[in-house]
Amino acid sequence: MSKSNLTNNIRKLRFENGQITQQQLADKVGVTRQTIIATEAGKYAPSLPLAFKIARTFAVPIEQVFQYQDDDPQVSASDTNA
Amino acid sequence: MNKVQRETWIALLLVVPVWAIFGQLPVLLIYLEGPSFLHLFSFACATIIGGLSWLLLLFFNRKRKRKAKIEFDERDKLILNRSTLAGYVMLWIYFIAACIYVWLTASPDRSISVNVMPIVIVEGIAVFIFVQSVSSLIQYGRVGKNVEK
Repeated sequence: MSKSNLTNNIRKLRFENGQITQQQLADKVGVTRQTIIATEAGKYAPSLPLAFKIARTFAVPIEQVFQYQDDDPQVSASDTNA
Repeated sequence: MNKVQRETWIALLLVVPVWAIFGQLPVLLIYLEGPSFLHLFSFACATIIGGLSWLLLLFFNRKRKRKAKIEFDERDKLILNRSTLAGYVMLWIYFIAACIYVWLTASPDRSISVNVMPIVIVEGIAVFIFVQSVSSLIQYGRVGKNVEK
């Protein structure tokens, strides 16, 4: 699993939402604890459905959980203008 | 360690050596002592049991009471797909290398021993399982760093 430009706030959100454990979050979204560990560490980019499930668990928009840093400045600029 | 990792370690430490040794032993005996019913029967048994061992694993997994805990998810599936691909690629390279080796070491009358085929097939399966297992374990990596008790 290569490191991607995807960063996340899962750890922070877990502690802000009643200090739920990695296992509890894993059970809520229907994955193994190892997947939550790898996602939190930025070693695994989850699928879109899983990303939405995690965001809904914390009752926040997906952008608040995951952020994507694009290497190409042109793409980032066009995203900002759009 | 989840179910897939556990099974991968079993495959790497138990299935590959047992398969590589007991699958080859009858072939070696046939080569050294000539074919006999006992040798051929033990070869047939070793290959049937070795080849169908995954079905036994499947059977025991189904019989075991399922807990609510999730044991297989999208990441496991991705790792399994990639490691199977790695195993397949290595199997293909091994097969080509084995063919070249056989051609180069064929006897002067260009004939090869009938023992070559079972050795190539049985070892090919061992290579596939070995590469698939190692590839899976590399992809799972060390997760201990971010684990919470």
